[in-house]
Amino acid sequence: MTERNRDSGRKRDDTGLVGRAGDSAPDDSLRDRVDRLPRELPPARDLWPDVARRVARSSPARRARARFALAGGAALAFAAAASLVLALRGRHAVEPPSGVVASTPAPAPFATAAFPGEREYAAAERALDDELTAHRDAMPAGEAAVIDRNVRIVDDAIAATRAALADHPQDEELRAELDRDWEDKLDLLRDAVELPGGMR
Amino acid sequence: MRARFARLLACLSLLVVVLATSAAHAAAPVETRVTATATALVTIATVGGSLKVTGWNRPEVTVSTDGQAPVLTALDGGARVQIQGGLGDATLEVHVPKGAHVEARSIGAGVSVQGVDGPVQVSTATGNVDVTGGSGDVEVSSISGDVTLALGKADVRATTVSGRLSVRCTGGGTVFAKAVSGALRVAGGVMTRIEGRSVSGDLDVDATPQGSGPFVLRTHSGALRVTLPKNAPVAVQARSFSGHVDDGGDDAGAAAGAVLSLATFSGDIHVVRR
Repeated sequence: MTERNRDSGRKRDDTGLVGRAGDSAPDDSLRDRVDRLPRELPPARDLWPDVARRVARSSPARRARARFALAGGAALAFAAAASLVLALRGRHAVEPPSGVVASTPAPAPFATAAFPGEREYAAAERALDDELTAHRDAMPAGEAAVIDRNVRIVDDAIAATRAALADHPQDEELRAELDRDWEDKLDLLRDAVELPGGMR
Repeated sequence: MRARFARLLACLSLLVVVLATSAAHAAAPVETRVTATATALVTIATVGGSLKVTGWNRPEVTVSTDGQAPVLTALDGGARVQIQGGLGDATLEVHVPKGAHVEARSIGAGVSVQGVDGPVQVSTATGNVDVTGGSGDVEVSSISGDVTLALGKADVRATTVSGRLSVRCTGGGTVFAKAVSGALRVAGGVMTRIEGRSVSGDLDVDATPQGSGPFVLRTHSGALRVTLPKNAPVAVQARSFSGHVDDGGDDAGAAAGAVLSLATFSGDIHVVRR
């Protein structure tokens, strides 16, 4: 069907209203009625007292308290989710290296064994890990396997050091070793992200 | 009939000539050159094959390859030269002024650099790296390729993930070396700084620390072995959380001199004075 046929029997006037061809009188009548409509309609009652009452209820202090509560709730939810994820991840990375003494206890999950600064390291790790996942397809064959194997090695080192530190919390050298392990992990992820990226 | 045969023969002859010319052209190495300053920054990016960079006493950069012709660009009157090439299994041979600053990046290509006294920076993923004869700043990073540096006096920063890393500075200098599972070996004469770190790879050092350093060697589970000159004034501080420690006994450097700090989590420490 052509455009012409589809529109046959109809006409569009300059108000945008569509009417049937040949019924121009009802069209004019409609425009007259529209023109006669009042330009303003005053409200049936005074609405301002209600508005004022609602504005008073949401004062700046009240709004700040609400925002604070919302932010606190979000932070708690985030912390709970992060702890759960890290705890689950920790269960997969707890095999101690062969050189560790047999009495070393199995590393506790991250959520309960986190030492100062570890959360920041973990956040940086997650960001780099996300970036690495995005770049993974561009990595040369075999390189991803090397990275994965070495990530496990560093994870094992972190877990072993963390377990030892849990038993010797005052040992400054262990504390420094845990920092070094984390830095090794971040360096490794950074290298993995940056090296193929530089060639693109 | 004879005329048709003659035309066919002529066409075949022409085809043979064209094919022979093409084959000869393909086998001949492609060489391009540009003028460069004595200390030009030469950046090279390759993907596969192999890359060989050699320093020479001419103010120019040449590139020859048995594969696809590389893109060679000179900028700023030869102060900067860029080379893009090395696809497939081709060998890329580059000559640069001896004092040039070389930056080479590769994914799978093996990289060798010889006789360049300017700064050398090489990064690869899987290719091996060899740098010999240089005496400037040398910075190398690799994922799984082996790294071998045989230098005069140099300042070295080398990192690898799982490759073996060997640094020899016969004229001394400074070394920072780091690996995850790769083994590290540092050897040289008088070194004014040695920093080595490995997670599970072993770390071997045979050198003479001198001065204020730092001289710090650490592993997590890798073994740590150090060889020092018998009477070198070097104080050794060794500590391991669960590994065995043998600090060589005779502390010749207790009075004065360099302080060598060794630490592992579970790797053994062994110090020898010879």
